[in-house]
This record gives sequence, structure tokens and C-alpha cells, in this order.
Amino acid sequence: MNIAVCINQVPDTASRVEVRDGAIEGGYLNMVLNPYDEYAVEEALRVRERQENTVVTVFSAGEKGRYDVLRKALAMGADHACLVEGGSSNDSRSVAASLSKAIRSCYEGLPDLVFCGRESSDCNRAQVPVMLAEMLGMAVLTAVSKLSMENGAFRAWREIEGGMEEYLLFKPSVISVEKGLNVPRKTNIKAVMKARKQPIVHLDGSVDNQQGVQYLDLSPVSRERKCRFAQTAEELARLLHEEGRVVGQ
Amino acid sequence: MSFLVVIEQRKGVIRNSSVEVWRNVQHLAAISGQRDVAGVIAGDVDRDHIRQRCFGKGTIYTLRQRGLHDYSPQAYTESILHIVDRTGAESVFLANTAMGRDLAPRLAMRMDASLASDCIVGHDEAGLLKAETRMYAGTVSVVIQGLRNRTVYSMAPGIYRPEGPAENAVAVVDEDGISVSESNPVLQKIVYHTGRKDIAESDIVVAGGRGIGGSENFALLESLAAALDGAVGASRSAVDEGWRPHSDQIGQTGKSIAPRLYIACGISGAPQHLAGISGAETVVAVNRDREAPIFKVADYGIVGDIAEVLPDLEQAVLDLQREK
Repeated sequence: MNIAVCINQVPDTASRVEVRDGAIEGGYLNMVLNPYDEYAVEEALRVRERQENTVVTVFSAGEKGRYDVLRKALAMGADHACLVEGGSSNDSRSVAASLSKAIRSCYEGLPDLVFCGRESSDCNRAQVPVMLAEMLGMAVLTAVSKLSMENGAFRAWREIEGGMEEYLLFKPSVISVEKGLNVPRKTNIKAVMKARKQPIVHLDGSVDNQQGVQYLDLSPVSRERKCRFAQTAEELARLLHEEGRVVGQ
Repeated sequence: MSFLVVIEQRKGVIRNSSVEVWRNVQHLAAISGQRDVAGVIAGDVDRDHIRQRCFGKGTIYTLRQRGLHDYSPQAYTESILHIVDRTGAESVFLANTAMGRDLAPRLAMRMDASLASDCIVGHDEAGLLKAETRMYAGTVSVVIQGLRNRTVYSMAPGIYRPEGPAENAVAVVDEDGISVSESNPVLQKIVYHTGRKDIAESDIVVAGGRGIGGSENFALLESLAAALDGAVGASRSAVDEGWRPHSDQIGQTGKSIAPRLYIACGISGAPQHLAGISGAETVVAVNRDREAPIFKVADYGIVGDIAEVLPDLEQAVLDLQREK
């Protein structure tokens, strides 16, 4: 079985993102593997452990700076890593088109499965997995938080507001994964050293006329409010009551 | 030029988030040059219920075929596209819910449309739609410019709340005869959590973080929430501790909520948490640490231990409710 995993890099959550002259000041951001993509890599490795002759290949679209996250996936246990070059890394549709082109060039036909993280934690748009599936002509299910294999198909659960949906999903398909699906393995020094020596395959991801949107007028958001402190719970209740927040909405 | 709103129902009830989108779009249509508004609801929903929930003008198409009552990705995509074609919609709007996040990119791709996710939609001086969203845990705002001929908007909850139109001139039209091809994935069943209010749909949410000290202390939050008829949520730390399930998590890696009242208990106020509450109207913080960042983004605060503050607050609330 062939499994492709699409990964992205994001600023780590401790990074303070600053806007200067309408652009993100990116120079000093510490970029890490998108947390949701760790679940995707982990799930692919778990499927490989249960299915003989399974090959896990990770893809990331962007510049050479992505070697680090590709190597992280290799250190976790992925078989091959591909850097998809020549596309845009900002617009989801362009990214999906680059990944689609690279994945098609890598396999005869389609991979059996493509795992992606639910979304990237920097922009939270959750667009690429579905766009990629549509471009590849594969079925797709998003935000899967529980997955089991059943006679070559998958039983997949996805969280909705106030409940869970349960699906049956047939290959070939794209699955975007949600937190809670698994606990990603830690990498050890030996694996990290070995990953450093593994080759990164470069693939052409240049595409035309695929851009969906562009992002303009970046500006920082202030969330500050003026806090009125109450001395007692009774006073707090009264203040909320005056705002109509306690009785009678 | 026309707008189409995809209205979401669960168990025959139109969700609050969809009513909000419908109102927004009615408002946008009125101020941006009297565009036509249409709606589409998949599933078996009572006509009177639709007319009670969705005021204003326009036609709402209902898709009552078998297999469309519950969300089914492919069947919904195909049948809603049929209504897109029929209405000639150039802009399609959905609420950014679990369903909306799954459905919006499917529709956008099939329509060859731009996709604006988790956005607020307003208009510029010329009456053209203008969508904005946030990035980096809500700390940066950006304007989204669509580059394709049509756009699908998946709208963030609660940030913008126009009054609904008073007029009720909506026509409800059953649209049948749409055939849907076999689907993959196939929905097997939906299990609804019973006896628990949904944080995404509640007007009042009481949430706990690591600072409340242990899972057992959520009982204090449950009790206060019950008095307020609200729901209980949690921060990422509380979920990571295993005190609450991930479905209760509020923030960047959980849910974005837009209650009228949000009470943060023992939550320090990391940017990732704040990303999930930017739509909240009134924010209250209860924390032992007066320097906690949550107070900087709260409207009201009280410094103290939740074991003392919450029972007193609950009692005070009950007393006020009794006076009413």
C-alpha cells in the first residue's frame, strides 16, 4: 500500500508574530512541523505497522527551509521525503495544486491513502486536504479523530458540535486528521542522525492559474479590554445582571 | 448577482450559527445594492420552523430527499451545487461549523470559486463584499481578495451581529428530483452527546483551565453553568490533563465560540485560547493571579479561588433570578 502524507511548517506556538509594513516579520520565527501533521505522519506509520509492504512518503510544498520538517518526519519513521518546489506557499489552492502535481508524478496512478493534518495551526483554514482530494479525484473525509481498518476499508469518526459522526470510507481516499487521533511518537537521537543522511527528493510543483485568493492589508489585532474588578462574587453578579447577562437574555 | 446561504440543520432544527449567517447576508444584500438572496436546506425541516428562523426576503429551497437529512459530504455537495446553478449564485455563504468546514472547500472546488474561510464579511464604499479573517492565533487580521469569478464564504461565529430583518417574506420551495450518486465516505450514524449543552451554540459558556486544580473541580463550573443555563468548556491545558474531552476545548486547536457571556475560570489567557473567544461579547475572568493575562482581555474580573468565588457567584445569580 502507498501512503502519501502532506506536511507543512508553522511558527511554533511560543513565537510572537509581528507585523511590519503590512507583512509578517518572519526572520526570527522558529518554524516547526505543524502539530496536526504530526498526527498525520503518526497515523500513516501505524497503518504501515499493520499492513505489510506499505510505503510512507511525505510531501511538503515550499522552499528548502522545509528540510527540517521533512527530516523530522523521516526521523519519526517515514520512508521517503519530497520537497515540492516552484509553487506558492501562501494560497491553499496553489499549494494543493502543487502537491497534486507532485503526488501524481510520484506514483503510477494514485496512492491508496493521503493523510493530512486537519489544518495548519498558523492560518487555520483547513482548505488544502479537500482541495487536494478534489484535484486528485479522491474521496475525502476531514477532521477524523478516530480511525479503524475494516476489511480494506476504514471506519472513521469525526467530531461535530454536540456529537460524533461515524463513516465508512473506501480507498483511495484523503483523510485529514484531528487532535486526539493518536499520540505521535517521539524521535530519538539515533533516528534524527539517520534522517539527516537520508536524501530529500526534489519534485516540480510549478502550476499555472491556480491561485484562489490573495491576502492583503495585514494588521495586528488588539484584544485588550478594560477590566473592571469586582471585590465580591455578589458584586460581580450584580454587574452582570445590569448588563442583562444573568436573567433574561 | 445573487447570494446563496447554505442553512444547516441538525435533527430538523436550524442551527443558531446558520440563522446568524442568514441575517448577515440579508443585511449585506440590502446595503450592497438589493441583490437576490436564496437559501438551501438539506433535510426534512418543517416549513413553519424555517419561516420562524429565517426572516427577510428571498426563496429557501428545501432538499427533502432520502439520504440528505444528515450530513453526507458528497450528496450534500452535489445537491447544493444544483441549487447554486439554479439560482446563478456568485457568492455562497456557510457557517464555519464542523459541517461548513468540510463542505465549503468541496463547493468551492466544484464551482471553481475562491474560498474565504473563517471570515467576517462586510462591504466597501462601492458596495462590494469585503472578507476579513485572522491568522496566527487571531493576532493578525487580513483582507481576503478572491481571484476567481465566484466566492464561497465560510463565516466565523458571532463577531458581527446585525438585527434580523423584521419582514417575513421568505418563500419556501421544495426542490425534489435531484438524484445523488453513490457516495464515499458513507455516513453510518451520528451519536449525539446527551445531557450536555453544546458550547458552540450556547449563549453562556463557563470554562475551566489548569488553574482550577483538578477534574473534580469542574463540578463547580457545571453547577454555575446549570444556574445560568449555559454550557461548560475547557482550555487546552485542562484537556491535555485529561480532565475534559477534546470536544469541550475552546481555542485555536479546539472550537471558536461566540457566546454573549464567557466566564473563564483558572484560565491564564494564552493567545491560542483567546483565538477561540474573539467573538464573545462579555468576558469575565476568575483567577487567583491578579497578573494573569486573561484580565487584560476581560470586561469583568475577580481575583480569588474558584472554590470560593464560584459557589458565591452561583448563589448570587440564583438570588437575582428569584427577584425577577
